[in-house]
Amino acid sequence: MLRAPGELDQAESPMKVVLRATGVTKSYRSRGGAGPVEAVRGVDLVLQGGASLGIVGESGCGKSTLGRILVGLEPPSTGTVELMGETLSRRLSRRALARRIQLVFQDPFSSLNPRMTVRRALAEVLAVHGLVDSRSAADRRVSELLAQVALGPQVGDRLPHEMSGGQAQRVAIARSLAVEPKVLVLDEPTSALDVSVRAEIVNLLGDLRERLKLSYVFISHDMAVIRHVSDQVAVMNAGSFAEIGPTEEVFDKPEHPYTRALLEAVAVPDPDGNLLAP
Amino acid sequence: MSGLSVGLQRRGVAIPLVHDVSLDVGAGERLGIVGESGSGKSLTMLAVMGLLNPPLCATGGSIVLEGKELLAGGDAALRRARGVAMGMIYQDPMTSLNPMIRIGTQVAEGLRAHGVGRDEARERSRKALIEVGLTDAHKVERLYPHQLSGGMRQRVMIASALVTAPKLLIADEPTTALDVTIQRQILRLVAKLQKERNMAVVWATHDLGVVAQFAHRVAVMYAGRVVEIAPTRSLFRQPEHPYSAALLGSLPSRATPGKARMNQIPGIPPDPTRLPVGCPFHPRCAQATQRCRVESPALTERRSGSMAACFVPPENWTRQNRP
Repeated sequence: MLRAPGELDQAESPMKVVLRATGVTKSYRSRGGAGPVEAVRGVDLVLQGGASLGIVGESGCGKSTLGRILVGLEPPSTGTVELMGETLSRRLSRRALARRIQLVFQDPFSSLNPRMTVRRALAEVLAVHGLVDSRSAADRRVSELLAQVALGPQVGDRLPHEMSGGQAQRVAIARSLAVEPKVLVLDEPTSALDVSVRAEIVNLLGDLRERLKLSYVFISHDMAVIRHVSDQVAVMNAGSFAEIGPTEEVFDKPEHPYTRALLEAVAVPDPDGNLLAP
Repeated sequence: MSGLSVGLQRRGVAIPLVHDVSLDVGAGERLGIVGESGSGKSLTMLAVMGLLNPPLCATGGSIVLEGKELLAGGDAALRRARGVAMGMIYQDPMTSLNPMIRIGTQVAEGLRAHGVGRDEARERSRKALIEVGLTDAHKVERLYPHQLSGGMRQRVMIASALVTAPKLLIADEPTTALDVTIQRQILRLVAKLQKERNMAVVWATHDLGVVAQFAHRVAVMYAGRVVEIAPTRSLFRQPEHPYSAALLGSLPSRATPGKARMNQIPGIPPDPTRLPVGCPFHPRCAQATQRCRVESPALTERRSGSMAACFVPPENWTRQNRP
């Protein structure tokens, strides 16, 4: 679709950069004076509005640390993260940041308060951010949020332990949507789920991205899921991107030996596969 | 194993969790068991190992290992037979290895418990460590679990399971916590040792990719029952149970790649204390008929060589996954 740039509403433009990381590193001091551990080393990434960037890698490669830096939970040691044109720094309040970018975790049961009903958990977010001014408005919004993740309003009265893993993950997603963020960083959102509910969450995330014009950074070790949900994929190894490119290209024509090794090691569900071959 | 049932004793009533499970595995065979959480696969594995603790207990059936009945009584002699003839590896080596005991002592423990002398036990456990690829066994045996990587710990687990030279190796999600490259190494290692020793291996997992490439035969469990058991190739080419078909259909690699929706299975696995009447899968099944709502199907032999517990043969199935 071609339009003169002047006609484009900047905020609605699908090609606008919403998240940009430049030269991000993170090092931690290690015990015993063995020198710093570099968890993230010089990562550059650009996330366009409405796009989904997959980050795939093995445990310890730094992908979760990178996710935490992107949402501002940890400052980078060097480098910058720009969220919708604004550089993350101490001057940007935690709350203002949370309104724009949210993190969804792997295990919904450990990210939901076990003693709080779903309704209270969601209403709390609305209250903290001053998004509703009355009890009834909060109730309405909570039901709306639940409907957004295809849960009935009756789920509002449940406690986390009264839900299945898939339902709890839906609630965690609903909670992150309560502030109407522009970007979701999803850290292994399907890895704790059973095979049969994994597809359901992947589909839901796809629908939400389209409906709410969200952008995703989708972090996972699961190559099949990453392939399904990302437009672009970055393969992370030892703190940096070994390769980044359009998803089909990276999977079909991997350039980096590490990407190839990773793809070869995946147990594909094919009885004629050669996983056990030497 | 035939007709195995496991129940949870609560206030004098047994809540059945595993229903009438019959499985067999031959020497030199790798049997895969696939199921989601709550399918009963772990309980079945524990029952075979005789590791069910109250309030869990086997409520019926029999388990025969090389002609010896294992379920009749838990006396010391049987326990000994089990310990020598079977080895087990678990999902999380960090929680199943004792953090306070050196690796060498832990691997040798199985032998010491069965009366092998200290020196011989040390010698054999060292050999077991080398066999699983920890070639600097002299160093490794002096270390504690936290000093090893996840892959090395899982190798230590395998070494301690194999040190008694068991006829049967039972593994419950042993590679789920590991990275794919390490998982591949472990699968290759177990396949190699299994062939060398003509061992029987039972490998429980939720990962259909692992099953496809590792198992000779596969049992699919759902709600505490085996719903299909088939040669691996048949299961993946021509599943005979709608649940197997739906599971295979929900894999991302099988769905149209790109931005198409993945096939999902409607609903959630049932609560074992409130199983539906009839076939436990019928509320989620696209093929369910009136009969499925009242009667529970038994495993029957199919032309493909598979066994499946379903009243509706695949040729009569309507659309595969969605109701």
